Amino acid sequence: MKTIRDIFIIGWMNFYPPFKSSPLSQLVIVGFFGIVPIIFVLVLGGGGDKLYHTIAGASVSILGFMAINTMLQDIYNDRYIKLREMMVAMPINPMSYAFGVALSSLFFSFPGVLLFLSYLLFTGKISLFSLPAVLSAILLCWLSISAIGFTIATYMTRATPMTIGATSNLFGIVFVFLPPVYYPKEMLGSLSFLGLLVPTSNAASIIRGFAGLGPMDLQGSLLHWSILMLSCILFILISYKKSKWRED
Amino acid sequence: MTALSVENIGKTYKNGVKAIDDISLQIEKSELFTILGPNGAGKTTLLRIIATQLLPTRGKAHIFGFDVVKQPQLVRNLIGIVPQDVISYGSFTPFDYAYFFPLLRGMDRNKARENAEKALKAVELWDLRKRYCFTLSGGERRRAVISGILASDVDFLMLDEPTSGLDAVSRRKVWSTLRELVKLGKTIILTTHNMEEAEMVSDRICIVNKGNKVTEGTPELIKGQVTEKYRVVVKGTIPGRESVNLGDKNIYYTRNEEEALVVLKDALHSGYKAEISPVNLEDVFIKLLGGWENENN
Repeated sequence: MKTIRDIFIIGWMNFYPPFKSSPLSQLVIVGFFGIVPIIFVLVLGGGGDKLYHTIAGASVSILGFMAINTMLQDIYNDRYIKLREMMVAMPINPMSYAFGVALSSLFFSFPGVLLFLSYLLFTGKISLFSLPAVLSAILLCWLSISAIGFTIATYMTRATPMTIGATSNLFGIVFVFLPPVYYPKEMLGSLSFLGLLVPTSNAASIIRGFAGLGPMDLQGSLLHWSILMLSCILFILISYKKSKWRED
Repeated sequence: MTALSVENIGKTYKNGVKAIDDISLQIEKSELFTILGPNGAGKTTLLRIIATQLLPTRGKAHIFGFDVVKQPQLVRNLIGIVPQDVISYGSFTPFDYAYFFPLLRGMDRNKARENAEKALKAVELWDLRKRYCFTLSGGERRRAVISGILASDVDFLMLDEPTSGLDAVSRRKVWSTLRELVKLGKTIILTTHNMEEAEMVSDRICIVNKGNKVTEGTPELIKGQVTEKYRVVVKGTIPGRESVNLGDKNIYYTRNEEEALVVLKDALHSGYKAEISPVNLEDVFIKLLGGWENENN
């Protein structure tokens, strides 16, 4: 019980004070990952299904980008404000800390995800019936990317702030902008298998399936869900094994 | 009652750097104990081992009887640490520090609020509790972090160079807070390389150098460990007398007041400005760490 409580407290303390001090950042997040791509699609002569593809992708990309930023948050907590160092000397489980920091990224992306999923719901693209599955795909994607973020952070203990920022942005591009998140994987033709490689495009494919924007055959769905779950478990295990709560 | 016992602690990092060779010490409950040493002496490493953040290579340490290596979770219920060079989170308010930390100790929201209020009043930040830390001064920010530990209501507090970079007024406020806490029965261990701080706030001091304990005792006891009792600072050089040279100034150490007055007289006769005072902790510290003689080398 204390573990769950600690996760929420750590999540809230990593989210609420920065949000309260700069609420505009929410607008930037929603705008950059959602509204800007939508405008691009409209300007480039999209509309119709292309718009829905972008909106489905935006709900995943916001979360994906914020989740990879747990890497930055962890390094910032450790190296600059020494919050992690202080927490090591408290009766807190290391996993509570990790899930708490990851939860803050969920809080940060929540308004954007809510906005885009609501749009898909109100326009009838996804039904209330499919919402739990869509949310599960989004949550699995969040867990996977957060765990990847923590794993990367363990390799960057001596990196300069510039390198850390650049790495975070680079992984943001790799997980959000390059793979078929904003666009269907079928557009990649014979390279569509690349869409299976990262959690964000798997989650986006699942949402597209439920929204009727892409194929939803049993085999394909199973593959996407399996990859999401496996990457989630794998990276949680790696980050658990690699990260050190108490140094030796 | 023994609050902390450290027995033959040693720490060698994986890269072969020996941070602590062999240190043993004991701290009693309600004592403010200072680890004083130059940069790289092993102060922070020792504190981090005691705070269960770092594993020692050898030796044992117990806090209120609990083993810091084998029972870290039990130890963590009793301790709180303010790390070295901590900068408060700019987006936090002092209240955030004082409120979230006790919550993480398992306190309910009402108790956490109550403790936060007490802690913020103790560090004189209650009126600034809603201000973002980035708008506060360096001293206020440091005290905001300390309030988080105070509100946690732990018995054993560790502060790693808590006043480094603070101005004199802010430093005094932190010292005053620390002494108030000792009065309330808290045990405090702090590290510093500020001699005045060590002398002003400590019940006892342990001087460490190159990973070893040099000496331990009350400030008065440590000052009594050198035979020289007075110093005469002369703006000039008196021929035929040994001194520690500081550019155009020289420090002459003497064993008694009479000898010091003779040096003072000589200096004034030669037309130099001179000042006489008892040796301070800094003089003793330098002497114990290798002697004044080395300063001239």
